[in-house]
Amino acid sequence: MRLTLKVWRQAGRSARGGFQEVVAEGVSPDSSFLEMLDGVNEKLEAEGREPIAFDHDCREGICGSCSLMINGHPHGPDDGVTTCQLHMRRYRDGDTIVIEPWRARAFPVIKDLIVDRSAFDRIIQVGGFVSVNTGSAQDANNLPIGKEVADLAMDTAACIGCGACVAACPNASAMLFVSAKAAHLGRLPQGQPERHARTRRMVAQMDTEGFGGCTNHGECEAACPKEIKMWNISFLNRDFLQASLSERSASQRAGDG
Amino acid sequence: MSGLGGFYRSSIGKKIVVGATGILLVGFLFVHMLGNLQAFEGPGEHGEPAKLTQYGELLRTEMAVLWAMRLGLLGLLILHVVTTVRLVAENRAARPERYAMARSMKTTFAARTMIFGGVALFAYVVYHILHLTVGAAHRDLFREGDVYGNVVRSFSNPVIATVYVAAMIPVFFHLRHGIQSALRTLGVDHPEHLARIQTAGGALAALITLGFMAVPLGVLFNLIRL
Repeated sequence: MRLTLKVWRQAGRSARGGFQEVVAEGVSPDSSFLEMLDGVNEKLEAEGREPIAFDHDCREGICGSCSLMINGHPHGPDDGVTTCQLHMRRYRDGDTIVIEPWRARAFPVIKDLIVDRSAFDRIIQVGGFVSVNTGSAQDANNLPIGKEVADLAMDTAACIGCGACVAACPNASAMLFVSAKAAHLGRLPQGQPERHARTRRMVAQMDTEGFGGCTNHGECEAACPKEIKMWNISFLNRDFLQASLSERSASQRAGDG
Repeated sequence: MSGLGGFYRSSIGKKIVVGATGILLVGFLFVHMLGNLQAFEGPGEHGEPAKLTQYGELLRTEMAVLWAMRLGLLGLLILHVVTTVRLVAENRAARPERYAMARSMKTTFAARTMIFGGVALFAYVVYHILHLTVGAAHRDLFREGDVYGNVVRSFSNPVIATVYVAAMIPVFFHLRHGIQSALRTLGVDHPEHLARIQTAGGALAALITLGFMAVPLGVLFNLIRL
């Protein structure tokens, strides 16, 4: 296959970027999208030109490293897959493909197609965890968890933090990501002691990072490679309301003794 | 970040304010629409004023109560609009650089035009109050206290009737997305309930829209006359 790529090139964080047209020749329909880019980069390097910078790691859809807005779709046109799982048989000989980085104030471009997604790390660092004392592991059956709850928690735990939700959202909102973590830990008994503090802190960090707010378009759900559902955002909203209503100042907490 | 200020500064806090005020305003619209339908009761017999005019007098029984309701509605509207404007500004700022190519997958016309529908609605509400409450928009057609007569005289003018019917189109789209969106924001997260709410919200939006359209159309087609 012969393809024309219109790729966003940007030398660095503060550099001005623009689209560059690159021709990919001899592309196998069995190769993945990233393998196609590898081939293009080999050719660019052989010609002494700068290869296209893009994020990738596991190449089996579980690490959340790869990104790419492909012809206006995060992770390409297929449902429930990441860019590394997208195959070139999806395209026809002679196609033109526009490749852009995720666009959000909170995800600044580092180079070409690579964006800085450490905003997600900082959201997790303020509350996306459960505190567990070290020591011998407790018996797995000490805490009975219903199958429905376990399944719902597992569905949200599937989030790989790729940022496709932010990329797809017309408001560049991170609420699907934040809600996945809030609903994952907030549904499990281990997550209850820190539940309200977790929700409050993660929402505050999300706002500080400069993400937008949800207006219930549903683009995030459609783009999510792990098919995480939007009803988790409703869960987050309710949890945030409850957390705000039950919030107490430090002095009041001390008074509780 | 704590207390009411902190709640309002947060993105979700503002969303909850917009959703809650929106739902209350929908409640007002529904009651307003039901009240309007009394125009179909006609001009009144045996020298009595029309049902619609009597209803207008009923609302004015205690002016203090009427003004409390008006100020309450105004407060809801201001909160709804001011908070939305802040949210829209934040949402725009969250994506300074646009995509060269962006394709929507799931969003609806109603969702994408919320803010434009809102602006159109606001302009309409100002005109509507100047027209039928204050009486300043069309002085020749307005007589203080004659609610039914004002309605029939105004909507006998096809231009005014068309403006009123056309203004209900953005109302429909605004409510169709707004009702279900507000309930999501207020925390309804059960997938089956959400599906039902989407259907019911759309039906309520259509009901309110058609109910409001009925009066100007009724006058235009001579079902409601002096």
